[in-house]
Amino acid sequence: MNHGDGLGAAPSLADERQRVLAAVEDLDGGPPTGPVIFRRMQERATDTEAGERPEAGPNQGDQSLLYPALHSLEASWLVHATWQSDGKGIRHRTYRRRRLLPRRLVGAQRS
Amino acid sequence: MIALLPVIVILGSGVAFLIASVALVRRSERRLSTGPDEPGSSVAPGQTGAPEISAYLDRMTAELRLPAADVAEVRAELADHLRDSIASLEAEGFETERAIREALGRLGPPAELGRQLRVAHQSTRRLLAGAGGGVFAAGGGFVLGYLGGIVLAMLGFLAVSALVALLAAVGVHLPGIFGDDDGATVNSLLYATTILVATAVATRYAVRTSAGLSRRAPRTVAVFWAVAGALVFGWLAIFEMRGPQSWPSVGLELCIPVVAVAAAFVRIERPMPHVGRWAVVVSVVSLVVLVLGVYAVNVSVSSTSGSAPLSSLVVCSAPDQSTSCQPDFHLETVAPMAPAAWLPEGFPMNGGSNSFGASGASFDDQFGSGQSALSVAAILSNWTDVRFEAWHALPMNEPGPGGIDTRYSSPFAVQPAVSSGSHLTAVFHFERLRDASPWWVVLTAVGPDGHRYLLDGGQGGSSDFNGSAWDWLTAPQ
Repeated sequence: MNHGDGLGAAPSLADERQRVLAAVEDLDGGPPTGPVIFRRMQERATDTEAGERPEAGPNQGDQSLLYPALHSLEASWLVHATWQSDGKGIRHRTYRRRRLLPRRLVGAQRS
Repeated sequence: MIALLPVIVILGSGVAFLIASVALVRRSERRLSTGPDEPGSSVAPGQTGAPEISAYLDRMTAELRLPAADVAEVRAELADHLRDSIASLEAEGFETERAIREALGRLGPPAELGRQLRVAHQSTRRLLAGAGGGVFAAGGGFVLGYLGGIVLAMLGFLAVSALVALLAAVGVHLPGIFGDDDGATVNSLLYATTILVATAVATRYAVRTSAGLSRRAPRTVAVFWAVAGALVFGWLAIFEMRGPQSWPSVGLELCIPVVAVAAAFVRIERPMPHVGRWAVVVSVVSLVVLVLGVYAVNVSVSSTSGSAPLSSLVVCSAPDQSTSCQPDFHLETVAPMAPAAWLPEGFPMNGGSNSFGASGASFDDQFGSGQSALSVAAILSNWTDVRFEAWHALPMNEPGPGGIDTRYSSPFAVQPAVSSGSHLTAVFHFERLRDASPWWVVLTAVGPDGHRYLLDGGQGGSSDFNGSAWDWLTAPQ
C-alpha cells in the first residue's frame, strides 16, 4: 500500500476523476490504456514549471482510484471505452474522450 | 390508398417499436450473460504471479456484484493492468515476488476496489436508463407475449380438443365442464391465457432489461418490477381490459398479480430464451395479419351495422289470433295477450328495430296506423307501467322455434319504456350481465283492470358478456 506517501493528501474520487479526464484529453491522439493514463497523470503532477505550485496529483504509485474514476467517467458518458488488440493479439481496454461532434469539427471550431 | 395510410403508419410504428424493444432486450441479455464479446480468461495460466493475481481478483469480484459481462471486463482489464505494472516494476529492478506484491498493493485492498468499482458502475444515470428501458421493454414484451399467448392458447385448445376427441373415440366421455354457452367460456379462457402470458413476458423483459442497463443484479431490481407489474398489469387485467368473461377466466385474471411477482423472481438469473431473427419475423408477420384481420372485420361489421327490421318480430293483436303468433314462442309465460277491445285502432305496432353497440342493446317499437304514426301517449292512455322485459330464452342453436325458456317465471331485467313521439325505446346492457344469453325481450303494460298484459311479442337474440373481470364479479346476476 502506498497511501499517504508521495505528493498530496489522500485523494477523493471526484479529484481523481478530474485528473483522469485531463490525462485522457492529453492522450486523445491514440486511445490509451489504464497504465498509460496513469503514467500521464504522474507526468502532469511532476511536469510543472519552476515557481508554480505543483499540480495536486496522485500519491506516488497509488492506483486505487484509477479504475473507479475511469469507470465512473464511462458511466457518466464522459469517456468511451473499447477493447483493442495489440500486435501480439492481447486485448487491452482503451479509453477515449466522448464528444458530441467529431474531433475534426471540434478542432475547426477552436481554430 | 389514402384511407390505408393511417393503418400503414400505425403498423409501421408498431413494428418499429417491437424491433427496438427486442434489440434493447438482446443488448441487456448480452450484458447479463457472458456473450461473444467477453474479453476472455482474465489471467493467463503462464502469466507472472498468476495465483496471486487470481486470488486478488477473486476477492475483488466478491464485492463487485455486477452483471457477468461487466465482471469479466473488469477482471480482464485489471489482469492486463497488473501484467503491465509487474513488467514495469521488474524493468525498474524489482524482484519478481516484490514486483507482484507492489503491483497488487498499488491497487489497494481488493474488497475496497470492488466496492468502488461497483459504485462507479451503478450510477444514477444508469439507474434512470434502466427504469426507462424497463418500461420500454415491458411494453414490447406485453405485445410479443400477447401474440405468443394467442398461439399458445390456440395450441392448448387444439391439444385439449384432440385429447377429448381421442377419449371419446375409446368410449370415455368427459363431463361438459364448459356448459352450453356457444363457446363463450372457451373464448374467455383463451383471452385470459393470452393476458397471463403477456404479463409474464412483459415483467421478465422489464427485470432483465433494467438490470442490464443499470448494471445491477436482476434479483435486486426484481422487487421494484414485481410490485410495479402486479399493480399495473393487475389493474389492467382486472379493471381495464374488456373481453369475454367466465368464472374460470376471471379466476385466471385474478392470478395476474401473482404471475407478475413470480415472473420477476423465479429463476430470474437465468438468461431469457434467445429471440432469434425468425422469432422476430414470425411475430411481426403475426402482428400484421392480426391487425389487418381486425381491420377487415371492423370494415365488414361497419358496412352491415345499423338498425334493421326484426325479421323474427311477431305481433299478436289479440289472444284468439294465435295463428298469427306462429311459431309458438311460449309468450304466455310472460303474461296474457292484451284484449283487442282495450287497444285502439292503431294497434298493433308497425314493427320494431334493435341495434347493438357499446352502450348496450337498444329496443325501439313504433306504433302507427296506415300512413300516419300515432302518439304513444294517445294509444296507451288507459295503460300504465309500460315496460320492456328481458327473459331467458331457449338456446338459438337448438332445433325448434326457440322462444322464452319456460323454466323461468320472471324476467331477468326490466327497463321502463321511454316514449318519444310514436316510439317506445329502452336500452339493455346484456353485455354486462352474467348468463343473460340467450334472451327474449317483450313489451308489457298494466291494463285498466290492474293486470299486466303482453303488448308486443318482442324478439330474441344472443349477447355474450363483454367487460372486465371486475364487471363480471360485480354483475347483478
